[in-house]
Amino acid sequence: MGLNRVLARAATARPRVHLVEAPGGSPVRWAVEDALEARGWRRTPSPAAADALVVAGRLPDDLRDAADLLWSQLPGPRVRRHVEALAEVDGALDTLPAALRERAAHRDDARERGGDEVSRFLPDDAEDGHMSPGGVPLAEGAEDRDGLEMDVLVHPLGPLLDRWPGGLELRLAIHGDVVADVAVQRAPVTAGAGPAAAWDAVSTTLALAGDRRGAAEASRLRRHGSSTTSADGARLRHRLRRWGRVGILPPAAAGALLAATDTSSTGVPPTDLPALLRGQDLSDVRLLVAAHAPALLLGEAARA
Amino acid sequence: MPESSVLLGAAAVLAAVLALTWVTATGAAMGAGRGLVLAATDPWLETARLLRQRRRTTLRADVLLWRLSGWSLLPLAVLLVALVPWGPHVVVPTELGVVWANALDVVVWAAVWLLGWGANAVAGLVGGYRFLALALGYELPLMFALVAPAMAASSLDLAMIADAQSDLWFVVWMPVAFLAYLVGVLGFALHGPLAAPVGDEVAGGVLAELSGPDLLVARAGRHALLGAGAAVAVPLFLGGGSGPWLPDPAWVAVKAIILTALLSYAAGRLPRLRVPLLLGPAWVVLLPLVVLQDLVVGVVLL
Repeated sequence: MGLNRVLARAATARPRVHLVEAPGGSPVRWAVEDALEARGWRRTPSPAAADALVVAGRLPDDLRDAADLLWSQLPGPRVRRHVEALAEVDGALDTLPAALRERAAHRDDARERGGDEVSRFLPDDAEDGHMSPGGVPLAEGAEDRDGLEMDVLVHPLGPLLDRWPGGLELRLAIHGDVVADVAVQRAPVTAGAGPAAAWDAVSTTLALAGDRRGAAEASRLRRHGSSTTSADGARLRHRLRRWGRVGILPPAAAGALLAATDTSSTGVPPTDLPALLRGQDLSDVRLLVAAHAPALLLGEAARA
Repeated sequence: MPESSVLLGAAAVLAAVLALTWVTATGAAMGAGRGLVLAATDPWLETARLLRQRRRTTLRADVLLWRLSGWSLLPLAVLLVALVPWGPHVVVPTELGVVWANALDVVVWAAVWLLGWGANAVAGLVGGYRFLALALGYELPLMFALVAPAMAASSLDLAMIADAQSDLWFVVWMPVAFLAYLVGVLGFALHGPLAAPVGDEVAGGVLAELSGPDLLVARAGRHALLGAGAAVAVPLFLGGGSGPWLPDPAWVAVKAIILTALLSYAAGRLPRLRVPLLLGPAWVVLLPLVVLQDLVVGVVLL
């Protein structure tokens, strides 16, 4: 028993968190990110290897199913936390390790789950048959940008996704990993313009591009807001310009981030997301959306 | 070879792979900005965490190929390290060490692609496609890089190649081949600038759907491959076991660990190259330079 206890303690010392943002949940997500950083805990890019699902912000009723689907993909032992206010952040995280060690609860959870959790999220008319193995319809064909016949996959992104504006739901038609068409199913509610949101976009984009040091630096600027010296900001902007030039970031993403963090400019023009994303590589979609996050709200506000 | 020394050799290889895996995990995390204490303890805590985590599967997964490929990365790294001559001792003596090493790194192609394919999910499949694009980019420069030391030593035997460097390490007059070799190592270990198949921007790519022990061995396999690649570079470019004071096997270990630490730190520090950028620099810049390097080696030998 002693060894089991020691192993369980080691296994839950630094839980891995899958953190997603509900519409309007940016300030809470920032607080969660800072709290994770302070504890030395890390996030997972997919729910598959996470110990805990943390939803930052108040989840509207129509996104409950999306959160349940995400929850069903955590392998377990698993813990779920909905953090709706800044004051709840520390409490929600501090109880994670102990909650992950409750053996009886996790055994019951595993027993209740059963084998097949995915089917109930498939469309109702899906049947297991020749044309839809496992209830998933076969891909249809279409001509890709070079005029070759390619399979078309319908791939939803969002509404709850790692490092993604809260509530944004895109439906992509992809050829291989090239985006053929984009439909916006649901508009996001983001933190809007302002230095904090701009530096947050820089941090998110750099983290997605694999530049962890740059991302941490941008998070620091976001945290300290206006009190940071402009030298730090200028250094990071120089980095963005360089990544845009050598192609670590798509030029459009680097441009959007530079515009958003430019203190002398009056604002960022709203972005037409579908036009921006069509024809891009699937991974560039994530970078472009992250980089344009501050401008998405302006697009919404302009329409409203 | 007597039985006891075979067992001893096997134990030494396994211990070396474990050590190199840990050094890589720590170095890469530190390169990404994590503090020394956190970075050095993470691998142990993650091992405990993932051993305790449940296995998961996806809808209509190709389970056989998926699990087989994920669990084959670590054995591939062990085989690579087994080829390395520890001074006079070689665990797997062969006259064709360079060919075997190259063959093993090509098996990684199949393993990574099937790992992405097996999950029957978009992120994995995209990661798998990306790996093929990446592999086309790094593999040819890597093969031509292996030609240079073999030519200079007139042998494909790693022990002979190490012995041929008693006067001058090959890295000194084959820097381009050494660089191309290291790029190839980052490629087949899916690390640093060449980590596009496992990138966060595709939700972890070929690793996106793995959990528990399956993720543990696949991730450890990645780290181990970087360390194994660095260990093979020791007889190829860094003079094998030659060095003052210490016995030969100790020098091999020291050189392998230092190279692994430097390479993984650099890998953690650098951002990922986007997929459209992978092939161009590798074929237009690196490949001609490596061929030129081979030519220089050939001319010097004349």
